[in-house]
Amino acid sequence: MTRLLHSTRDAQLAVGLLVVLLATWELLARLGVLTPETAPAPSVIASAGSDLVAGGLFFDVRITLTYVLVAFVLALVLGVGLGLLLSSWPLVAQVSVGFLTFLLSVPKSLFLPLFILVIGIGGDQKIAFGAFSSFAVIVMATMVGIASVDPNLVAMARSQGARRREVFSKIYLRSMMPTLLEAARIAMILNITGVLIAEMYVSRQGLGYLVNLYGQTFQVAPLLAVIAVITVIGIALNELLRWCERRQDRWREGT
Amino acid sequence: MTIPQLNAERPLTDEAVIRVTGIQHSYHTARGPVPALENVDVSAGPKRFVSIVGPSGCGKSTLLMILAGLITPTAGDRYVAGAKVTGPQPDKVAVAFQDACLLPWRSALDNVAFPLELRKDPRAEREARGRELLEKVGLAGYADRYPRELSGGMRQRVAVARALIQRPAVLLMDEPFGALDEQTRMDMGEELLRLWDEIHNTVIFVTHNLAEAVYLSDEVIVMAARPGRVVERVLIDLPRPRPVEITETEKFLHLRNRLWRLIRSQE
Ligand SMILES: Nc1ncnc2c1ncn2[C@@H]1O[C@H](COP(=O)(O)OP(=O)(O)O)[C@@H](O)[C@H]1O
Ligand SMILES: [Mg+2]
Repeated sequence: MTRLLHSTRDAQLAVGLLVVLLATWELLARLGVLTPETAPAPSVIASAGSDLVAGGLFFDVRITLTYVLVAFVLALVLGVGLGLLLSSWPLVAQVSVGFLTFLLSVPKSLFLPLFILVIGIGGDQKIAFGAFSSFAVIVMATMVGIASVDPNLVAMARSQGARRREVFSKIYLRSMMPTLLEAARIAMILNITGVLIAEMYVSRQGLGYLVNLYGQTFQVAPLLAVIAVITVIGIALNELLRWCERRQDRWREGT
Repeated sequence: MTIPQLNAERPLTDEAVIRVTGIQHSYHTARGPVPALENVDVSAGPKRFVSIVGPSGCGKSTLLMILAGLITPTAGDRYVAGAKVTGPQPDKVAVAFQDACLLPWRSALDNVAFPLELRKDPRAEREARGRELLEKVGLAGYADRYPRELSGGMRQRVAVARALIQRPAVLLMDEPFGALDEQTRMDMGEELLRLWDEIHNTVIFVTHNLAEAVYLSDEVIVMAARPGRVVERVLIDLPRPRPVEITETEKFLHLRNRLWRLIRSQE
């Protein structure tokens, strides 16, 4: 109960702060303190935004969102699958953790030209690069999750007649859920980043393309409007996954 | 003693509910095989309460896992609850593990009903039987609590209820009260006997508490380490039912001391 109050109060505080910030910004812009070319007033950005919507912004939103979600599912399925596979052999697991750590630390954008050379510049390339950006995180989280499953719980379930599939779904997957959901949240951010970078690099549509277009033509108001839309999408997806985390985590709270 | 030839299909023809012979087990580790049990024979008749005592590392848990069908021994024959053991037998054999082993994300009721869920019993039936067993172990009001909201003793009661819901002919318990304080341990022992009086199945109970072993059992198997083996089988001919005061009688203390000397002499 106190938790809930805390979080609504936090939300109110955050919204209040944002309003104050925007109002100050608006004021400074109108007073001419800020240059309109580089820091247009929020009202100007908003009207640029509504022009964008009228001009078909949602088409680009839909494209980028589709790429992000497909990349997310792809990375999740392949990442968990590979994580499970690698964990089946202790030696392989040990070697692959080293390799994955390397993959985690190297900037993914270095591989973008390679993706274009191999896959081309279409939507499948955006999806593939998005998935690639978060793949290592999910494989790693899966392997960490598996290693942390209590073997006694597995023995207990087996003694009560659980078959392989039930041991997997009712013990392994459930034990790993907190780790996996947290990884999924990080993966989603990486998916968004990956897809946007791929769109900014080469494309004719999508939010990343728009960012690149308005940036290169010095149209700061629509540029900031697009960035605001991307931010809202990012926050929404993040909150959705956090909601899933809280839902399955209820047993941790209690009295 | 000769052991009658048995096969997997035919139930045991003699009295024993449990009979394992010539059990040998080594764990395979990166540093080579670790011998855990060496030529162990154990048997238990129907409705017998048998305890296993011995120093830590003598293979008590290993033996229990072998009886449960969770570990396949390197060598030896196993007949438990009338059949040759090839794997877990959830409809006949239940296990209560050392540290309760509850699923932390499930309520007490859902933990107790877990074996029935695996058996695909209908939900209503699972819940009814789960509540019935929670009541039996004195946790009627705690069905919706999560394990972390329960005390150590309560968690262990849930684990016992979960084992009993399987209606096992054989109940295997591995130091179930080992992590509890002395008072709770005594209470739990008393209550286990009360429950056992109703169910009256065969129990194999691993403990390192000798008084507990004497108080609960019809017989106590004493094991020694390096290699893990059975050294003696002590009959506990105390009358039942056993009030707690029995632990102060001369006979009780005599039996307890005898176990103590047996274990000491192996070190
Ligand atoms: N999973 C395992 N891998 C390797 N060695 C093990 C394993 N489990 C137990 N052992 C070894 O087998 C021996 C018997 O262990 P255990 O059955 O747990 O004894 P107890 O329950 O009597 O303390 C010990 O030497 C222990 O170190
Ligand atoms: Mg043990």
